[in-house]
Amino acid sequence: MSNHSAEPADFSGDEPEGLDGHTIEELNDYLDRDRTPTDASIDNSPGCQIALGTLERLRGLTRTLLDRDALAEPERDDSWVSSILAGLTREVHAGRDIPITHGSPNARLSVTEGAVRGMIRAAGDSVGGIVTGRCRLEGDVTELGEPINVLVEANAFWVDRLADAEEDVRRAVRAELERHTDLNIEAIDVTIEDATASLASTE
Amino acid sequence: MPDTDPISTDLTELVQATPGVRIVYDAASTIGRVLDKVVDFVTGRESDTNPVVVKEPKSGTQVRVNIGVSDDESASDVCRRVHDAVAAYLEQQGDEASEISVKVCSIG
Repeated sequence: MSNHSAEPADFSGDEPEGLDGHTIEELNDYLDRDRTPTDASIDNSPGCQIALGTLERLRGLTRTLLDRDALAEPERDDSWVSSILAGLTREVHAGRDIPITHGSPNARLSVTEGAVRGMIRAAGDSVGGIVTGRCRLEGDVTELGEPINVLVEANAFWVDRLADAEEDVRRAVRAELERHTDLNIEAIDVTIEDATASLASTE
Repeated sequence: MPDTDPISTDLTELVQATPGVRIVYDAASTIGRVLDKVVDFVTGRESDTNPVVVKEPKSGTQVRVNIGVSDDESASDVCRRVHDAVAAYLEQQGDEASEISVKVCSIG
């Protein structure tokens, strides 16, 4: 098993290299074109692939919202979309290497922090009516066995009880982290904002 | 570097065919690729553009692989599977690896 050097997480600013020179707008255009013609610089970029996954899920939700006329409300507050897109560029960068165990002393196996954050967002989004935003892994993820706290922020739509939704997201994220990584998860803190609160109050 | 091309090509195909692997990303650093291009230009050689990087220092063969995995299986399991496939290949070649690095860069 490798001993990876600890590197502090950096969430202080945008890191455009996470998208390998591309922008969220370019990725949106790529989806508009149904990924044709293929662009190797996008298809071969881990950061772009993670971002495309998030954008596709976001588009799916937006279509559903439009179907429900929610976005047609004149007083709608769609700042949550801007917030997610702004954070996406920052969060897809590879970040720290999270070790994966192996019996061979010559093995250096790892999963990037960016891949894990993308997986966490997908897990959160799998809960009905939830769009996951910012994710953070707190603790030294580069050392096996170190206790890690996971912070997840999300927005909720058509959720009866936020507390239930938070528990559902927590459960989904924990299951995926345990399935895909060797992280020692101590706690998963989920904070959900009710994105439809203002709309509901006008109904 | 040119003498490692056949191994890198074989390993790239091997990793691509490993169940659970969705894509093989370029494991070379950007600086490394730029330097390769400079050397190519100066020497007129054709560089190795395989995404799997193989180096052969005196201490033993070093392999670096960056992959994206599907969500169907555990990323950790796929990562170990890729390592074991690479190690088995090198063993078949009578080669001893001093380091096999496999990094999962995207899931799903």
